[in-house]
Amino acid sequence: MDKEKEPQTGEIDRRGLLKCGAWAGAGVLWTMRGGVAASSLLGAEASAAVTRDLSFVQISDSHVGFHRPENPDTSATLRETIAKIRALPRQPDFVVHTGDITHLSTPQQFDDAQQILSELRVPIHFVPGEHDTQDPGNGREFLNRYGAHTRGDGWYSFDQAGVHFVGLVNVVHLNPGGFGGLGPEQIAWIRDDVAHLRSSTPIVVFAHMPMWSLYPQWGWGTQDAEAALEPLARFGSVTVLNGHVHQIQQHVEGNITFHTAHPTAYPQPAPGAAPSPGPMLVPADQLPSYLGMRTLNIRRGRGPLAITETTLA
Amino acid sequence: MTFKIKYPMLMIPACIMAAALGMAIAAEHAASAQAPHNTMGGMHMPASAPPSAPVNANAVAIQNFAFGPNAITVAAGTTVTWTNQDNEPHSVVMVDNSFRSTPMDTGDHFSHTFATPGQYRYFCGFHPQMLGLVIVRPRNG
Repeated sequence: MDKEKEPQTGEIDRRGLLKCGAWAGAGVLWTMRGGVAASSLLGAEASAAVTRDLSFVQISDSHVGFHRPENPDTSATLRETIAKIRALPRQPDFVVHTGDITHLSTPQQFDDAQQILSELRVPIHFVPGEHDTQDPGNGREFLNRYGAHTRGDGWYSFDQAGVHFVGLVNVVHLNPGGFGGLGPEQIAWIRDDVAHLRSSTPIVVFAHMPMWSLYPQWGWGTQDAEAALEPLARFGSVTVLNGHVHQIQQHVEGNITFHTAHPTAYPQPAPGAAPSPGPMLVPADQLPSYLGMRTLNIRRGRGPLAITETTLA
Repeated sequence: MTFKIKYPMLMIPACIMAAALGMAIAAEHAASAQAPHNTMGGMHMPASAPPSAPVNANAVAIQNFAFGPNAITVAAGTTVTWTNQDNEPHSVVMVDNSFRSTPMDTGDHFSHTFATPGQYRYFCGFHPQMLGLVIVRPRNG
Protein backbone atom coordinates (compact mmCIF):
# COMPACT_ATOMS: atom_id res chain seq x y z
CA MET A 1 0.00 0.00 0.00
CA ASP A 2 2.92 2.32 0.44
CA LYS A 3 3.65 4.48 -2.50
CA GLU A 4 6.54 6.73 -3.12
CA LYS A 5 6.98 9.41 -5.65
CA GLU A 6 10.36 10.28 -7.02
CA PRO A 7 11.31 13.80 -6.02
CA GLN A 8 11.03 16.32 -8.79
CA THR A 9 14.59 17.44 -8.66
CA GLY A 10 13.95 20.68 -10.53
CA GLU A 11 11.79 21.91 -7.69
CA ILE A 12 13.65 20.68 -4.70
CA ASP A 13 16.99 21.50 -3.19
CA ARG A 14 19.19 18.60 -4.18
CA ARG A 15 21.26 18.74 -1.03
CA GLY A 16 18.45 18.38 1.37
CA LEU A 17 15.10 16.84 0.92
CA LEU A 18 12.74 14.85 2.97
CA LYS A 19 10.07 13.25 0.99
CA CYS A 20 7.13 12.60 3.22
CA GLY A 21 4.40 10.68 1.57
CA ALA A 22 1.44 9.84 3.74
CA TRP A 23 -1.04 7.17 2.97
CA ALA A 24 -4.16 8.67 4.45
CA GLY A 25 -7.59 7.13 4.67
CA ALA A 26 -9.02 6.40 1.27
CA GLY A 27 -5.70 6.53 -0.48
CA VAL A 28 -4.67 10.15 -0.76
CA LEU A 29 -0.94 10.45 -1.28
CA TRP A 30 0.76 13.68 -0.52
CA THR A 31 4.29 14.95 -0.59
CA MET A 32 5.52 17.59 1.80
CA ARG A 33 7.58 20.39 0.37
CA GLY A 34 7.76 22.92 3.19
CA GLY A 35 9.00 22.91 6.75
CA VAL A 36 10.45 19.57 7.59
CA ALA A 37 10.34 18.50 3.98
CA ALA A 38 12.91 21.12 3.06
CA SER A 39 15.36 20.09 5.76
CA SER A 40 18.65 18.38 5.04
CA LEU A 41 17.68 14.88 5.97
CA LEU A 42 20.11 12.98 3.83
CA GLY A 43 22.50 15.14 1.90
CA ALA A 44 24.46 14.01 -1.14
CA GLU A 45 27.52 13.19 0.94
CA ALA A 46 25.54 11.16 3.44
CA SER A 47 23.69 9.43 0.66
CA ALA A 48 26.99 8.35 -0.86
CA ALA A 49 27.97 6.80 2.47
CA VAL A 50 25.06 4.40 2.27
CA THR A 51 26.37 1.06 1.04
CA ARG A 52 23.11 -0.46 -0.13
CA ASP A 53 19.39 0.22 -0.18
CA LEU A 54 17.91 -0.07 3.28
CA SER A 55 14.35 -0.13 4.49
CA PHE A 56 13.01 -0.22 8.02
CA VAL A 57 9.72 0.33 9.81
CA GLN A 58 9.02 2.25 13.01
CA ILE A 59 6.11 1.30 15.26
CA SER A 60 5.36 2.77 18.66
CA ASP A 61 3.10 3.03 21.69
CA SER A 62 1.29 -0.31 21.59
CA HIS A 63 0.14 -0.26 25.24
CA VAL A 64 -0.68 -3.96 25.31
CA GLY A 65 -2.92 -4.51 28.34
CA PHE A 66 -4.91 -1.30 27.89
CA HIS A 67 -8.63 -2.11 27.56
CA ARG A 68 -10.48 1.17 27.93
CA PRO A 69 -13.02 2.70 25.52
CA GLU A 70 -10.31 4.66 23.68
CA ASN A 71 -9.22 1.26 22.32
CA PRO A 72 -10.80 -1.81 23.91
CA ASP A 73 -8.30 -4.16 22.22
CA THR A 74 -4.79 -2.83 21.78
CA SER A 75 -3.51 -6.34 21.03
CA ALA A 76 -5.76 -6.45 17.98
CA THR A 77 -4.52 -3.14 16.60
CA LEU A 78 -0.90 -4.17 17.18
CA ARG A 79 -1.61 -7.45 15.38
CA GLU A 80 -3.17 -5.51 12.52
CA THR A 81 -0.08 -3.30 12.29
CA ILE A 82 2.19 -6.35 12.19
CA ALA A 83 0.03 -7.79 9.40
CA LYS A 84 0.48 -4.54 7.44
CA ILE A 85 4.24 -4.84 7.77
CA ARG A 86 4.18 -8.46 6.65
CA ALA A 87 2.10 -7.42 3.65
CA LEU A 88 4.64 -4.84 2.48
CA PRO A 89 5.89 -5.65 -1.02
CA ARG A 90 9.45 -5.53 0.24
CA GLN A 91 10.08 -6.79 3.76
CA PRO A 92 11.99 -4.23 5.80
CA ASP A 93 15.52 -4.98 6.98
CA PHE A 94 14.25 -4.53 10.54
CA VAL A 95 11.53 -2.99 12.66
CA VAL A 96 12.10 -0.58 15.53
CA HIS A 97 9.60 -0.24 18.37
CA THR A 98 10.04 3.13 20.09
CA GLY A 99 8.49 2.18 23.41
CA ASP A 100 5.36 1.74 25.47
CA ILE A 101 5.15 -1.84 24.27
CA THR A 102 3.04 -2.54 27.36
CA HIS A 103 0.67 -0.43 29.41
CA LEU A 104 1.80 -1.34 32.94
CA SER A 105 5.08 -3.28 32.55
CA THR A 106 3.63 -6.57 33.83
CA PRO A 107 5.20 -9.89 32.74
CA GLN A 108 1.84 -10.90 31.25
CA GLN A 109 1.64 -7.78 29.11
CA PHE A 110 5.23 -8.23 27.92
CA ASP A 111 4.44 -11.86 27.06
CA ASP A 112 1.28 -10.92 25.18
CA ALA A 113 3.09 -8.23 23.21
CA GLN A 114 5.99 -10.50 22.35
CA GLN A 115 3.65 -13.19 21.09
CA ILE A 116 2.20 -10.71 18.58
CA LEU A 117 5.53 -9.14 17.67
CA SER A 118 7.07 -12.57 17.05
CA GLU A 119 4.84 -12.86 14.00
CA LEU A 120 7.32 -10.56 12.30
CA ARG A 121 9.97 -12.36 10.29
CA VAL A 122 12.57 -9.61 10.63
CA PRO A 123 14.65 -8.42 13.61
CA ILE A 124 13.04 -5.94 16.01
CA HIS A 125 15.00 -3.30 17.91
CA PHE A 126 13.43 -1.86 21.06
CA VAL A 127 13.77 1.13 23.31
CA PRO A 128 11.53 1.32 26.41
CA GLY A 129 8.78 3.82 27.10
CA GLU A 130 7.91 4.91 30.63
CA HIS A 131 5.02 2.42 30.57
CA ASP A 132 7.64 -0.34 30.15
CA THR A 133 9.68 0.62 33.22
CA GLN A 134 7.04 0.67 35.98
CA ASP A 135 8.02 -2.71 37.43
CA PRO A 136 9.57 -2.63 40.92
CA GLY A 137 12.99 -2.82 39.27
CA ASN A 138 12.32 0.37 37.28
CA GLY A 139 12.96 -1.26 33.91
CA ARG A 140 14.41 -4.62 34.91
CA GLU A 141 11.47 -6.47 33.34
CA PHE A 142 12.17 -4.78 30.00
CA LEU A 143 15.93 -5.35 30.22
CA ASN A 144 15.49 -9.03 31.04
CA ARG A 145 13.67 -9.45 27.74
CA TYR A 146 15.29 -6.95 25.40
CA GLY A 147 18.48 -5.81 27.08
CA ALA A 148 20.87 -8.62 26.08
CA HIS A 149 23.06 -6.51 23.83
CA THR A 150 22.57 -3.16 25.50
CA ARG A 151 24.33 -1.07 28.11
CA GLY A 152 23.09 0.79 31.19
CA ASP A 153 19.33 1.26 31.11
CA GLY A 154 19.17 -0.40 27.67
CA TRP A 155 20.96 1.87 25.21
CA TYR A 156 22.88 0.54 22.19
CA SER A 157 24.02 1.24 18.67
CA PHE A 158 24.55 -0.74 15.49
CA ASP A 159 25.57 -0.17 11.90
CA GLN A 160 23.69 -1.32 8.88
CA ALA A 161 24.27 -0.48 5.22
CA GLY A 162 26.55 2.40 6.16
CA VAL A 163 23.98 4.01 8.46
CA HIS A 164 24.67 4.32 12.20
CA PHE A 165 21.65 3.60 14.41
CA VAL A 166 21.52 4.64 18.08
CA GLY A 167 18.87 3.46 20.56
CA LEU A 168 18.52 5.69 23.63
CA VAL A 169 16.60 5.40 26.92
CA ASN A 170 15.08 8.65 28.20
CA VAL A 171 12.39 7.18 30.49
CA VAL A 172 14.42 5.97 33.47
CA HIS A 173 16.11 9.18 34.62
CA LEU A 174 12.96 11.29 34.75
CA ASN A 175 13.32 14.83 36.00
CA PRO A 176 10.84 15.70 38.78
CA GLY A 177 8.78 18.66 37.63
CA GLY A 178 10.15 18.33 34.13
CA PHE A 179 10.87 16.04 31.22
CA GLY A 180 12.31 12.64 30.57
CA GLY A 181 16.06 12.37 30.80
CA LEU A 182 19.06 10.35 29.65
CA GLY A 183 21.56 10.89 32.44
CA PRO A 184 25.29 11.67 32.30
CA GLU A 185 26.43 8.07 31.84
CA GLN A 186 24.38 7.65 28.67
CA ILE A 187 25.44 11.02 27.31
CA ALA A 188 29.11 10.13 27.84
CA TRP A 189 28.47 6.88 26.01
CA ILE A 190 26.91 8.70 23.03
CA ARG A 191 29.99 10.89 22.74
CA ASP A 192 32.26 7.83 22.66
CA ASP A 193 29.95 5.89 20.39
CA VAL A 194 30.04 8.38 17.52
CA ALA A 195 33.60 9.67 18.03
CA HIS A 196 35.13 7.33 15.43
CA LEU A 197 32.48 7.93 12.74
CA ARG A 198 33.01 10.01 9.63
CA SER A 199 30.81 13.10 9.53
CA SER A 200 29.27 11.85 6.31
CA THR A 201 27.77 8.84 8.11
CA PRO A 202 23.97 9.12 8.25
CA ILE A 203 22.76 8.85 11.87
CA VAL A 204 19.35 7.59 12.98
CA VAL A 205 18.44 7.90 16.67
CA PHE A 206 15.57 6.06 18.40
CA ALA A 207 14.16 7.16 21.76
CA HIS A 208 10.71 7.07 23.30
CA MET A 209 10.12 10.61 24.53
CA PRO A 210 10.53 13.52 22.11
CA MET A 211 14.13 14.67 21.97
CA TRP A 212 13.07 18.28 21.61
CA SER A 213 10.89 20.52 23.75
CA LEU A 214 7.63 19.66 22.03
CA TYR A 215 5.20 20.73 24.77
CA PRO A 216 6.73 21.44 28.18
CA GLN A 217 3.39 21.84 29.93
CA TRP A 218 2.76 18.14 29.35
CA GLY A 219 6.34 17.05 29.96
CA TRP A 220 6.82 16.29 26.26
CA GLY A 221 10.55 16.58 25.93
CA THR A 222 13.91 15.33 27.20
CA GLN A 223 15.70 17.39 29.81
CA ASP A 224 19.25 16.74 28.66
CA ALA A 225 18.58 16.21 24.95
CA GLU A 226 20.71 19.15 23.95
CA ALA A 227 23.76 17.71 25.67
CA ALA A 228 23.02 14.29 24.19
CA LEU A 229 22.69 15.60 20.63
CA GLU A 230 25.66 17.95 20.75
CA PRO A 231 28.11 15.20 19.60
CA LEU A 232 25.87 14.72 16.54
CA ALA A 233 26.11 18.34 15.40
CA ARG A 234 29.01 17.61 13.02
CA PHE A 235 27.10 14.98 11.04
CA GLY A 236 25.43 15.92 7.81
CA SER A 237 22.30 13.85 8.34
CA VAL A 238 20.69 13.08 11.69
CA THR A 239 17.18 11.69 11.96
CA VAL A 240 15.59 11.31 15.40
CA LEU A 241 12.60 8.98 15.70
CA ASN A 242 10.43 9.26 18.82
CA GLY A 243 7.05 8.07 20.11
CA HIS A 244 5.25 8.95 23.35
CA VAL A 245 2.85 11.61 22.08
CA HIS A 246 0.69 9.24 19.97
CA GLN A 247 0.61 11.52 16.95
CA ILE A 248 2.91 12.73 14.22
CA GLN A 249 4.88 15.84 15.14
CA GLN A 250 7.97 17.07 13.35
CA HIS A 251 10.73 19.51 14.09
CA VAL A 252 14.00 20.65 12.55
CA GLU A 253 17.01 21.81 14.52
CA GLY A 254 20.03 22.55 12.33
CA ASN A 255 21.09 19.25 10.78
CA ILE A 256 18.73 17.22 12.97
CA THR A 257 15.21 16.27 11.96
CA PHE A 258 12.82 14.98 14.62
CA HIS A 259 9.72 12.86 14.02
CA THR A 260 7.23 11.44 16.49
CA ALA A 261 5.18 8.49 15.27
CA HIS A 262 1.65 7.23 15.09
CA PRO A 263 0.78 4.88 17.96
CA THR A 264 -0.66 1.42 17.42
CA ALA A 265 -2.93 1.83 20.49
CA TYR A 266 -4.87 5.11 20.82
CA PRO A 267 -4.48 8.81 20.01
CA GLN A 268 -3.67 11.63 22.39
CA PRO A 269 -4.77 15.26 22.00
CA ALA A 270 -2.67 17.73 20.06
CA PRO A 271 -0.51 19.89 22.35
CA GLY A 272 -2.75 22.18 24.37
CA ALA A 273 -5.96 20.92 22.74
CA ALA A 274 -7.20 19.40 26.02
CA PRO A 275 -6.71 20.12 29.74
CA SER A 276 -4.24 17.24 29.94
CA PRO A 277 -2.67 14.55 27.76
CA GLY A 278 -3.83 10.95 27.92
CA PRO A 279 -6.01 8.58 25.87
CA MET A 280 -8.32 10.48 23.51
CA LEU A 281 -11.70 9.01 22.65
CA VAL A 282 -12.59 9.19 18.96
CA PRO A 283 -15.50 7.53 17.12
CA ALA A 284 -14.68 3.83 16.77
CA ASP A 285 -14.80 3.94 12.97
CA GLN A 286 -12.21 6.73 12.97
CA LEU A 287 -9.75 5.06 15.34
CA PRO A 288 -7.80 3.27 12.55
CA SER A 289 -6.91 6.59 10.94
CA TYR A 290 -5.12 7.61 14.16
CA LEU A 291 -3.02 4.44 14.32
CA GLY A 292 -0.25 3.25 12.07
CA MET A 293 3.41 2.85 11.25
CA ARG A 294 6.24 4.61 9.48
CA THR A 295 8.37 3.18 6.71
CA LEU A 296 11.80 4.64 6.05
CA ASN A 297 13.67 3.91 2.85
CA ILE A 298 17.27 4.87 2.33
CA ARG A 299 18.64 4.39 -1.15
CA ARG A 300 22.27 4.25 -2.02
CA GLY A 301 23.34 7.32 -3.96
CA ARG A 302 19.78 8.55 -4.39
CA GLY A 303 19.70 11.48 -1.98
CA PRO A 304 16.45 11.60 -0.14
CA LEU A 305 15.49 9.40 2.75
CA ALA A 306 11.88 8.61 2.02
CA ILE A 307 9.42 8.49 4.90
CA THR A 308 6.01 6.98 4.36
CA GLU A 309 3.29 7.14 6.99
CA THR A 310 0.74 4.36 6.80
CA THR A 311 -2.39 4.29 8.95
CA LEU A 312 -4.63 1.34 9.74
CA ALA A 313 -7.53 3.04 7.93
CA MET B 1 27.56 22.12 35.25
CA THR B 2 28.20 24.30 32.23
CA PHE B 3 24.76 23.27 31.12
CA LYS B 4 23.28 24.98 34.16
CA ILE B 5 25.18 28.16 33.53
CA LYS B 6 24.02 28.21 29.95
CA TYR B 7 20.37 27.58 30.73
CA PRO B 8 19.51 28.77 34.22
CA MET B 9 15.93 27.52 33.82
CA LEU B 10 17.33 24.04 34.15
CA MET B 11 18.30 24.34 37.78
CA ILE B 12 16.01 21.64 38.97
CA PRO B 13 16.83 21.75 42.66
CA ALA B 14 15.98 25.43 42.71
CA CYS B 15 12.74 24.71 40.91
CA ILE B 16 11.75 21.99 43.32
CA MET B 17 12.66 24.15 46.28
CA ALA B 18 10.51 26.91 44.92
CA ALA B 19 7.70 24.47 44.39
CA ALA B 20 8.03 23.16 47.93
CA LEU B 21 7.78 26.67 49.24
CA GLY B 22 4.60 27.14 47.30
CA MET B 23 5.95 29.92 45.18
CA ALA B 24 3.96 30.81 42.12
CA ILE B 25 6.42 30.04 39.40
CA ALA B 26 3.90 28.61 36.97
CA ALA B 27 3.46 31.91 35.20
CA GLU B 28 7.16 32.16 34.54
CA HIS B 29 7.24 28.62 33.22
CA ALA B 30 4.27 29.22 30.99
CA ALA B 31 5.93 32.32 29.61
CA SER B 32 9.13 30.44 28.80
CA ALA B 33 7.15 27.68 27.15
CA GLN B 34 5.62 30.19 24.80
CA ALA B 35 8.96 31.61 23.75
CA PRO B 36 9.16 31.68 19.96
CA HIS B 37 12.63 30.11 19.94
CA ASN B 38 11.45 27.22 22.07
CA THR B 39 13.89 24.64 20.85
CA MET B 40 15.54 21.43 21.86
CA GLY B 41 14.64 19.41 24.92
CA GLY B 42 16.02 20.71 28.13
CA MET B 43 15.77 24.40 27.50
CA HIS B 44 12.44 24.95 29.15
CA MET B 45 10.85 23.55 32.23
CA PRO B 46 7.27 22.35 32.05
CA ALA B 47 4.61 24.58 33.47
CA SER B 48 2.98 22.12 35.83
CA ALA B 49 1.35 23.93 38.71
CA PRO B 50 3.61 24.05 41.75
CA PRO B 51 2.18 22.85 45.04
CA SER B 52 -0.15 25.39 46.56
CA ALA B 53 -0.36 26.13 50.29
CA PRO B 54 -0.30 22.79 52.13
CA VAL B 55 -3.60 21.64 53.58
CA ASN B 56 -4.33 19.12 56.31
CA ALA B 57 -5.36 15.96 54.48
CA ASN B 58 -4.44 12.30 54.28
CA ALA B 59 -6.00 11.59 50.89
CA VAL B 60 -4.81 12.72 47.48
CA ALA B 61 -6.87 12.35 44.33
CA ILE B 62 -5.19 12.24 40.92
CA GLN B 63 -7.25 13.98 38.27
CA ASN B 64 -6.36 15.56 34.95
CA PHE B 65 -2.69 14.75 35.44
CA ALA B 66 -2.46 16.56 38.79
CA PHE B 67 -2.21 15.57 42.46
CA GLY B 68 -5.00 17.20 44.48
CA PRO B 69 -4.30 18.62 46.92
CA ASN B 70 -0.76 18.70 45.64
CA ALA B 71 0.65 19.72 49.03
CA ILE B 72 -0.59 18.18 52.25
CA THR B 73 0.41 18.25 55.92
CA VAL B 74 0.04 15.18 58.14
CA ALA B 75 1.18 14.11 61.59
CA ALA B 76 3.92 11.51 61.81
CA GLY B 77 2.47 8.02 61.66
CA THR B 78 -0.32 9.02 59.27
CA THR B 79 -1.13 6.81 56.32
CA VAL B 80 -1.63 8.81 53.14
CA THR B 81 -3.72 7.31 50.33
CA TRP B 82 -3.55 8.31 46.68
CA THR B 83 -6.41 7.42 44.32
CA ASN B 84 -6.11 7.58 40.55
CA GLN B 85 -9.24 9.02 38.96
CA ASP B 86 -7.74 9.50 35.49
CA ASN B 87 -8.11 7.19 32.50
CA GLU B 88 -4.31 6.99 32.46
CA PRO B 89 -2.04 5.24 34.98
CA HIS B 90 -0.03 7.26 37.46
CA SER B 91 2.41 6.53 40.25
CA VAL B 92 4.03 8.15 43.25
CA VAL B 93 7.83 8.35 43.21
CA MET B 94 9.77 10.15 45.92
CA VAL B 95 12.29 12.67 44.60
CA ASP B 96 14.83 11.31 47.12
CA ASN B 97 14.17 7.82 45.76
CA SER B 98 13.14 6.55 49.22
CA PHE B 99 10.16 4.69 47.74
CA ARG B 100 8.02 4.36 44.63
CA SER B 101 4.48 3.07 44.30
CA THR B 102 3.41 0.35 41.96
CA PRO B 103 1.57 1.76 38.93
CA MET B 104 -1.97 2.85 39.77
CA ASP B 105 -4.38 2.19 36.96
CA THR B 106 -7.76 3.89 36.82
CA GLY B 107 -9.48 3.58 40.24
CA ASP B 108 -6.44 2.07 41.94
CA HIS B 109 -5.17 3.22 45.34
CA PHE B 110 -1.75 3.40 46.89
CA SER B 111 -1.06 4.01 50.59
CA HIS B 112 2.10 4.85 52.48
CA THR B 113 2.62 5.53 56.17
CA PHE B 114 4.94 8.43 56.94
CA ALA B 115 6.68 7.64 60.22
CA THR B 116 9.33 10.34 60.25
CA PRO B 117 8.78 14.11 60.22
CA GLY B 118 10.12 15.91 57.18
CA GLN B 119 9.27 17.25 53.73
CA TYR B 120 8.62 14.56 51.13
CA ARG B 121 8.61 15.76 47.56
CA TYR B 122 7.29 13.39 44.94
CA PHE B 123 6.37 13.15 41.28
CA CYS B 124 4.59 10.77 38.92
CA GLY B 125 6.82 8.03 37.52
CA PHE B 126 4.90 8.17 34.23
CA HIS B 127 4.51 11.94 33.95
CA PRO B 128 7.40 13.72 35.66
CA GLN B 129 5.76 17.10 35.21
CA MET B 130 3.30 16.12 37.98
CA LEU B 131 4.64 17.25 41.37
CA GLY B 132 3.40 16.78 44.92
CA LEU B 133 4.52 17.41 48.49
CA VAL B 134 3.82 15.73 51.83
CA ILE B 135 4.88 17.65 54.95
CA VAL B 136 5.08 15.35 57.96
CA ARG B 137 5.04 17.18 61.30
CA PRO B 138 5.94 15.62 64.66
CA ARG B 139 3.09 13.67 66.14
CA ASN B 140 2.40 16.18 68.93
CA GLY B 141 3.81 19.18 67.13
